[in-house]
Amino acid sequence: MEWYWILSLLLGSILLLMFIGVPVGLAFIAVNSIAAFFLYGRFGSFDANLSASIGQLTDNAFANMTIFAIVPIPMFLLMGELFFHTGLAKRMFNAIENLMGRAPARLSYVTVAGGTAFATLSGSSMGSTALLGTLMVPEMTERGYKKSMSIGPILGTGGLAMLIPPSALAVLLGTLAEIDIGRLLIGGIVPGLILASMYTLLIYTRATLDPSVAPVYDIKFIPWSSRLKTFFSDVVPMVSVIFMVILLIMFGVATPSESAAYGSLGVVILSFIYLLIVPWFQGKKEVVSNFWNVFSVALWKSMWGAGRVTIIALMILFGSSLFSNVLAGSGASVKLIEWVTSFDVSGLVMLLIMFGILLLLGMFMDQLAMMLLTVPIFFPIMAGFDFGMGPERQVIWFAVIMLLAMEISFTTPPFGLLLFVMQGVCPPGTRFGEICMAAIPFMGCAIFLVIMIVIFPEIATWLPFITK
Amino acid sequence: MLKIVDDLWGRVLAVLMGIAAVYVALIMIAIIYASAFRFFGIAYSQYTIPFIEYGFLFILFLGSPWLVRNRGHVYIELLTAALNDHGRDILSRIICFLAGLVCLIWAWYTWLLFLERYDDMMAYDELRAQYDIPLWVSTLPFPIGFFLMMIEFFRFTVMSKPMHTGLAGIASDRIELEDTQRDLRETK
Amino acid sequence: QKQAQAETKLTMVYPFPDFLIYTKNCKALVKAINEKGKGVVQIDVLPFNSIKMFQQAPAVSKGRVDLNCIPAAFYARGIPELEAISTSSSTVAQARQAGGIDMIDQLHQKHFGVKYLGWTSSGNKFRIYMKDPPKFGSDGLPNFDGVKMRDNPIYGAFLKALKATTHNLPATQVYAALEKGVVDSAAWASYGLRGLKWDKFLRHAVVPDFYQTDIGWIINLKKWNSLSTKAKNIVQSTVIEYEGINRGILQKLHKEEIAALKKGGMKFYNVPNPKKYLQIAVDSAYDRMMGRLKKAKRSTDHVAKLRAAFRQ
Ligand code: NA
Ligand code: NA
Repeated sequence: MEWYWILSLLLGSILLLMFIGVPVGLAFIAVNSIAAFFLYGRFGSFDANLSASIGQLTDNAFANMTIFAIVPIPMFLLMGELFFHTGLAKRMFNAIENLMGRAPARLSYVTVAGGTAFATLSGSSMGSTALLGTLMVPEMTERGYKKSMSIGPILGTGGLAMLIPPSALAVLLGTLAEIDIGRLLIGGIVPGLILASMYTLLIYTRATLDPSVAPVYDIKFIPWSSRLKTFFSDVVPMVSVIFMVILLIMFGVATPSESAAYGSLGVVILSFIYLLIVPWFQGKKEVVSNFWNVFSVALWKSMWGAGRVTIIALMILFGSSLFSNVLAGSGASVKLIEWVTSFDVSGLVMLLIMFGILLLLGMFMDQLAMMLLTVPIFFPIMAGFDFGMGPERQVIWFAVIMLLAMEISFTTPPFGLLLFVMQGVCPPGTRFGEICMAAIPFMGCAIFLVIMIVIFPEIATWLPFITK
Repeated sequence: MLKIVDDLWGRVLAVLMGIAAVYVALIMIAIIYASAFRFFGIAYSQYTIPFIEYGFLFILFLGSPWLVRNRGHVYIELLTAALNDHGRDILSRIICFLAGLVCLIWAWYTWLLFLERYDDMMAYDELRAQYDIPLWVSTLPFPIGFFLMMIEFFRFTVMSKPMHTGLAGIASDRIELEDTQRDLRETK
Repeated sequence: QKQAQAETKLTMVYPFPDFLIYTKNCKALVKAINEKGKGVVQIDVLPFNSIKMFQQAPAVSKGRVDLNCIPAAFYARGIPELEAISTSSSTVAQARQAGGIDMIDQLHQKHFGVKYLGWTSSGNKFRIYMKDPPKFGSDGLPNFDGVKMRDNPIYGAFLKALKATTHNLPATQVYAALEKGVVDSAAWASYGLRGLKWDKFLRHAVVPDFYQTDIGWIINLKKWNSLSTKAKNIVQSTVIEYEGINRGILQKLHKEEIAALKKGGMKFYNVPNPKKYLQIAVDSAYDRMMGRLKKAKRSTDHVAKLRAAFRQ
């Protein structure tokens, strides 16, 4: 059988199974089992062939699943859950809202700022979308905000989560593509800041052009001195966790993969400070005596939540990583690369093709599965092109673009996974079309950023190579 | 009677999930312990690395059955949302039966693999040869996990409420959503 | 027509990416066999990553694929005697002459269900690299006090015997770990260090070199026995021919690499007591081998003869 038939058959059957509602991990496992049966089963009897194929898949799964590179997933999840369940996240949101004063559409800015901070800390787009959707959308709707001003910014902030360090997915991408993780993390900072600025500008423009999307209403004036105090007491410490994680990497205490564990530790320490030490100094006896109760419940919920999402991710990883082995074994991966590279196209066209593939895959795959599937194919192909910036800068540049592409694909109508999550968390009566419409301008910003990075690669490569 | 057994069984799966959740926290502690001791040049147990890496297998297979039972894995409700109740009911049961069958096959053949390796004095984890970890240690989670998942998938074929709810979106995020909303109500 | 029917097709997997010299050598040998074996035996190489690297030898043992070019260290916990190859000082021709390869082959057949065809890709050696200049003790051996060294299953026993503090890190994390000082020393093959770019941080090398790289060619035993005599002869003789050719290639690269590292500013330090250093390197590995054999309740009578063949 020709390789393209094999590829279409394998991909087609997985897509079909997913479409009819088979759990994603199991859809992979089922198709892998059948493919492996033909690849490794050469023993005559049905039983022996099945035994050989399941045996080989088990061996491969053992090798795929027991790798240290997976560590950032549970650790960043734990960090985000702790941040949420200890009440620190809510505290930070309130603080940011107070800081904004009476600015029009301020809740939209709060969503961008708080969402960025939270998504950055947790590194999980799904988690932060679920949290922000639940937290902000009902309140904003109540105050007369249009859905586009509440849902849009939330969907947008996921992109920032991946770009601004620490980012679990950036660490994973760096590991899989075997590129300098430190440089990749730093490479995301400038694009992340630009994207955040574009979101702010977008909100400002719309609120100015059409004030009805975000009605102004009176709130009590908060003096600047107390705003400053709030900023230092409730915002700076939370953000400093990020800096601590980066510093630990720089000083050689922890490798990038290990650093996520310190993020969790940082949140635990913060919660001790906010829930035990500060109330103790303030003489709030009942808060102090209640501490262990509150803390242990928060800890247990965080472990449970982090464990639950980790297992979801591991199940998909289990299936999709085996799929990349099976795809390689069938010869389809190599042939696909040969075929794609056989066209005499320019590097930019190739980049566009890859971008398109990522957008397509993002409709039904999570980012981890997408990376596992595409990184071994895309990076070698890109290495064959010269964009005139030197190979070291080029991989960082391409990795930043890939991170953005994956995040955009996660939110692309009509199938982006985050859109479904948003549908789930929105107040009843929110139509799917509304969500899609709200997402489009913010995705437009992200796509615009990608174009900017392609034209001006320095956006991604200047900061990481400043030392050299 | 059947209901009591089923409830008890659900609790057993929840305990396994709880162990998986605790394992996640232990990984955090293990990383901090090893990297801090390494930084200060103090001797530490080299077994932290295999403990962490093997952890992903154990976490997956200990917790996954509970997730199946609670509609926690990622599956896309697009077609099932478009169908009417009767059609969805039938499709959902067929999917669960097939999923259970896949788990049964995996449970059986990985169990045979485990037995074969348990008897083999020379089957070791070669990547981590310095730790002398027999291969059956990493093989055991497979048959257990797939067997428990099989029970849960087959259970959905006979339950009155099928696995698919027809609520568009992704089932797992619904749990997260319900948890989050409940938490927010409680904290208010 | 008749010939085409008699042609046997064999499948093969390999562990390392295509740009590495070990894969190039492996594929050159396949090409040579396929040319000589037209109408008799043909090898079909499965793409990279079809089977994960540490699962390849077991897959050959089970007959899921036929052939594999693979370092003995990748399945040496199962056949502890394989450390004789990794720690060898003999040339491959010497080891063959002394019956060492035959003994290794017998062990493969008895315990693993595969035939060991030959030891290709010998000739590249290992050494310890450091960020800071090494210190030497009064015993004439390196003093690794306060050095954070990366561990590896092959020479881990040796590093421990030198009283080094070792840390287990996957190869993919070592670059970042060296950059930030998480570890500040690692052992690696002479040829290959620059490919990983570790030489950017590791600027000091400890010599003499120890051990040898190895790639073995193994084939499923049942499959081997089912081959025609003609096919067996073609495969076996070509493997032996390439044992020599590949050794030449790797020794040349090994020497060029030392020159390139020196040109790049790498400093080389001679261990004051090289004899003792190398003795510990070999003894630590053989001690481990004996321990593992005893744990598996296997005979150790043949170890002395094996050592004699591989330590000439
Ligand atoms: Na981030
Ligand atoms: Na997003």
